[in-house]
Amino acid sequence: MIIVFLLALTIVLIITFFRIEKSLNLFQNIFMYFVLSFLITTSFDILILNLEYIKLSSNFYLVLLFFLMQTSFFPLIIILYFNYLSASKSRLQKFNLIILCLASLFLIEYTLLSNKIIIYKKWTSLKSALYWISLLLIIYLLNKAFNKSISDEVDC
Amino acid sequence: MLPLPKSFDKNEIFLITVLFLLILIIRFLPKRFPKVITILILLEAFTIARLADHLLASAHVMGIDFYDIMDTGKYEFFGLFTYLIFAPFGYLFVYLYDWIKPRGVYLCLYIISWSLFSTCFEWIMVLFDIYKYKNWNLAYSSIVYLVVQPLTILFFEFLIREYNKMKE
Repeated sequence: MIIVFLLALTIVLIITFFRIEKSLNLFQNIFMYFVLSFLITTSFDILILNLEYIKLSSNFYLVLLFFLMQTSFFPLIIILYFNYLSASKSRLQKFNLIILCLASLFLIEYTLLSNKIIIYKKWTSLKSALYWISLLLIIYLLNKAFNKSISDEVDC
Repeated sequence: MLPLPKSFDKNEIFLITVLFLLILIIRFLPKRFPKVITILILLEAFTIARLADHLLASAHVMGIDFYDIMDTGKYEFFGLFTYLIFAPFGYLFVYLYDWIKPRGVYLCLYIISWSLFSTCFEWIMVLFDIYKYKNWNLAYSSIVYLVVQPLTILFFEFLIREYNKMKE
């Protein structure tokens, strides 16, 4: 059931992502996708394999689903957030967006947790919050640096 | 977080040497692409390598742990260097493709030659204990290269098309 639900959710997100008009240019979106995929898979590998803070389910399909989440759901949510952020004008809108983005990430993480796809060992929800906020900050800075380096070639 | 090698031996020395040589080659090659295309091609090769290893080499729990990278089964600091090596190779692959511009049967030959070259290079990496195969062999790797390399060309063509559209 959970596999079908999360798969459907991911497919809906992918379709939505490609259908909506994005305020960042194509190259920025591709750049963010690659960086996010790398950072998310790397950080989860460090947490699961090296530090053993999080345990992964032993079910093959659930682990594949988790891989799908790391390489599609999480990065796309964050890319969507940055697209809306660059289009938003007021501070309130920006604040609402960050809350919405973090809530979506948490909700999915909670779904993974409650269905035992991932199990916290020495990890907590607070650490998770810090992790997602740091990730957003890193992507924001890297995107800025990327923009700066390509601004003479492409209109950003 | 990212363990250092148990002993600094042949695999680490090989990785650093090859990476240094590749950076030198790329540094002195005449500039062929806009900066944005170069960055994205380097990132694409780097990320594809990372995702492949993440799926095939770090999933211990589900019994499809096909190979280990470097000294331990963990995600090591020098494991990052293996992905960094793929970035310049991806760039050289696209650079030569854009220079030669193979079409038709020559494009097939180009991809097959690069897949053979990549497989041979991976064999050298196996000899230097960078990859330690468990349930994997070079034939599987060559198939992966045969799939990834045409995709890289498609990605490059897409980037060039979009870049030209944006410039118009």
